[in-house]
Amino acid sequence: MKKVLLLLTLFTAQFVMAQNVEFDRKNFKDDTKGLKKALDSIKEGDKYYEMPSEWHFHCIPFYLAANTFNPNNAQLNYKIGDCYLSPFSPFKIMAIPFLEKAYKLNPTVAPNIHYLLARAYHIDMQWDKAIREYNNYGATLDIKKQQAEIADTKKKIQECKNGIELVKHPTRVFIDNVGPNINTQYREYGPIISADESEMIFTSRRPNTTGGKLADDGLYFEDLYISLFRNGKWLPATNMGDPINTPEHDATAGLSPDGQILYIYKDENGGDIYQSFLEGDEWSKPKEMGGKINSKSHESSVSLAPDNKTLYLVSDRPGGYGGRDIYKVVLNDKAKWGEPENLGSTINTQYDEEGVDIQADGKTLFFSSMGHNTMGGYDVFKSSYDSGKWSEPENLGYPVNTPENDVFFSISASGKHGYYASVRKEGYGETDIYMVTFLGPEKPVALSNEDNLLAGNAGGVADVMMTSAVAVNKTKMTLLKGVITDSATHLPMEASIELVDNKKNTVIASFKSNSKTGKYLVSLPAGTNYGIAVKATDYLFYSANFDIPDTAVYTVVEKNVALQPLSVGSRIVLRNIFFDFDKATLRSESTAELDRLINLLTTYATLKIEISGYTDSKGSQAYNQKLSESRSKSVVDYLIAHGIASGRLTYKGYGMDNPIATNETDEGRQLNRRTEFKITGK
Amino acid sequence: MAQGDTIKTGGNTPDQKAQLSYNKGIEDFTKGDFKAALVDFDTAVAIQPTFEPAYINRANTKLKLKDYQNAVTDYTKATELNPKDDKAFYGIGQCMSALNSTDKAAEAYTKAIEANPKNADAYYYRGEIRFLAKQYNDAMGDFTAAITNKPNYAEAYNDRASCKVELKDYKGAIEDYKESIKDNKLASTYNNLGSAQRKNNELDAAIDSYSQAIALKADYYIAYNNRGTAKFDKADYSGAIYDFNKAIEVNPKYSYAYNNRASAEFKMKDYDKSKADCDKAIELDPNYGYAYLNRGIAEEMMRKADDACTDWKKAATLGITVAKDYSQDCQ
Repeated sequence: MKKVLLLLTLFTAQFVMAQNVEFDRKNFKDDTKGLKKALDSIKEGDKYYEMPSEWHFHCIPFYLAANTFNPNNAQLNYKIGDCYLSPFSPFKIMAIPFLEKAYKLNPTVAPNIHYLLARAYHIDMQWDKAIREYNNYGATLDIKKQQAEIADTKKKIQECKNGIELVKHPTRVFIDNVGPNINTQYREYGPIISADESEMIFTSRRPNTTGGKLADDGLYFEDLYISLFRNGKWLPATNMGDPINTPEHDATAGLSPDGQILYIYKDENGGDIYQSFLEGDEWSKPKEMGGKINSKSHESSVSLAPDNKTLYLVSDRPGGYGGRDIYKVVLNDKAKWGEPENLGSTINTQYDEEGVDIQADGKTLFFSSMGHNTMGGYDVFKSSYDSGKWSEPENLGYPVNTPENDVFFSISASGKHGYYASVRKEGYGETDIYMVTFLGPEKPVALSNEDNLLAGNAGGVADVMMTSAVAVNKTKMTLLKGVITDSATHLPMEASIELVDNKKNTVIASFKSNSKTGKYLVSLPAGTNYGIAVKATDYLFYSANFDIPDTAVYTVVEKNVALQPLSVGSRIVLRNIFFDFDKATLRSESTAELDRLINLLTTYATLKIEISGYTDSKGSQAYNQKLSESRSKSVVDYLIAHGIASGRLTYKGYGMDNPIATNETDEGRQLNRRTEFKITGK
Repeated sequence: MAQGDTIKTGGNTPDQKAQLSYNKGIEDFTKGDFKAALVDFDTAVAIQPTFEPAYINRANTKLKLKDYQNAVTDYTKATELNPKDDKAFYGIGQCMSALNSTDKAAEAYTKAIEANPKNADAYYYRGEIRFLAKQYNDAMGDFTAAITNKPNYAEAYNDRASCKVELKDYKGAIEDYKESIKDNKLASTYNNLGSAQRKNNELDAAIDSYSQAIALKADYYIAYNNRGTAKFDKADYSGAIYDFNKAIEVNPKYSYAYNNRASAEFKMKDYDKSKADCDKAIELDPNYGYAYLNRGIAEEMMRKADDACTDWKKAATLGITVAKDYSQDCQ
């Protein structure tokens, strides 16, 4: 009998512990003051709770104060959980103990209690519990009337299953906060990184926003900020100011590969992209992009390919696969952006795609999607364009991706670093910007062993064994950058730069150096021979030649160019004129360079020039002299055939004379074999 | 050791005095008194310079006394007196092997085999020379001939198994090692069996075999190192570390065990310890390419990218191809 009594007592005690306690006078007879204070606090919190969900995060301090007074109210615990899970909350997993308690106190506290529990477990990567709760929630839904909710629940269960798989094989990365010179207690997101990672532009919602006002969601209006990377660290970020920032929302949308065009998102016409040009050291007033880029729908992100003619765009315009999709837009002959073309169902899904970034190789597309095998919210994916089609998007994996939104991922030209916003324990508050360093596949460690293989031989026979090696992903690309100056004054100058694929004889990209700094930057994918020509009015053009083998890994080449003013005696080497071996026959790869020469002679109709041929020191003087002379004559003949008066042209072969480099090495000899021209009259 | 290192011969001699000395020599040899035996055989050949068996036994005595050059002179004299005596050629083979003149040794064993195609030991020793010259198929032929002419030849089974290992026929190797163990329980054979099983992915069986080897020879650090590797392959990293510790305890200068312990520590994400063990392995063997490779891999995780690059570049110069790939990413 005693035992029965004891059991009964224990049971009652437990029941009491789990009992819902209302905020009633009868429950708090001894502390009516405290009760009043708690009720007031709830009332304050409710003001935010009744507003759109963006505001719910503000309820938390008020509700928590009341919860300290009475921790056993199911409804209040539910609301705290709900607020922690609200869209702008950085601490969603803190909802878990409150929701669990709410459910324990009253399993019918709210119709969506199972859904909220599932969301919280999902975000905390407690996959099995999340699936269980999604299933519990699904069982409460009306098959006929709540089809959208049923579909959503099914999708989220699938996301948990994706998560289970992705977490099993984590991606080898370091994820580092970029530090307090960029991140603050406020929200930072949308980083865009220059190709060489020397500068970062990002969006933030801080008190020093232009105009200093709060938006409808209670946060400061978005502004763009810039930070420069110098001597191994990010310098304090500064507000980009007028004309980039306005008192309204101004957010990052993209940056051209050479860093000369900034794309800005503005909350106008349903969300449009504006562009601003770096003129010297000042950004021009942002203008709507024109052409067919913007529509009445929402456009939010763009990425310009290294050819400066192809733009990837995110838009939710009608005709897509559902929600936001990624489009490709090509610059037409009139330098206008043409009709956006949907990238198709390999990339786009019925869910949203967002945050597009084409890598400097022009072939690897990074984007975020709520579809594919996301583990929740947006996940970052990559896809490569090869043989006319996009590869199946590959989830960048955990821990880059999480069950929350991982979006606006910006990749460096090397492909080694990615930048994005995330909420992490080591952050400075709200969303911060992080750098992801990709380590590639695991590098297997090597073990050494030996055996005494021969019974008649006392010594050990070494037998070194290691697990098979893995392929190392490498970006096969060269980043070419430098400064263009005037050879006479040494001052930086604006010049137009043309990049030619010598094999195909086509202009790959044309762009300008910055007028104030003379800086330029271009990416050259591996596997071809490039000609680069730098031109400016009243200057001799400069040409150079780069052969980047397919085996080349990521490298940065610095090439500073001093342009010579057009004056008698000025001379340049025509690096993109090629002859057949030991012959004077011009090869077709020379066409682009010869055309530039014709163009120069047509523009400056009085210019007189000498074409001079040089060889290396291999072979006899007489032979080399003859070869160099017939080669310069070939160039002159070509110019005459294309309408240049013969009286303006002379040619001469100098053989092995006047070497500009040593003849002892292959590289030196290659430099010595050259065609030059010099101005003999103006 | 294989049998037949020394061969005693006897027979009729034209001169009784020479014969008596000869027989006394055999008696002294059997007692292990090689110096006395040498005097006896000297007397025998002095009395009867065409006494071929006396030359052979004097050579065998000199072989025991490690006087290889003079032993070869006596064996050669014997072959001149009787070109069909395989024992003389076999003896030359033994001396040449001892003098590290493997080509001449192989040539001598071949002549012994020509003189007597049933000389199992000549096949066996020629097989070992061929094995060390990486002529595994030829070596395997010799070990098979040795087994044919001398069933239960445990050493030949062991060595034939090792040829199969080198030819990646692990199943065949396992069978031969097991056959070898039936007749002669050598710790090294158990160790070799373990390694063949490990390569054939029979990790539990491999661990058992290594344990047998260790039971037969408690200070067998090679077997500890190998058992640790089998445990590593089973992802039992703490078990592996136990064995590498044992190997180091027995032989504190065993660089392999430090390198391997570093690998297990890396898997346990203990990068500092992993690096320290690689340091030790490199200190013991400054040209240990894999230790540089592994140290670079640990340093990468320790965020010491520059150090990792330096180590991978060094490993690449020591012939580790994969290190060259890794260092290509270095700026």
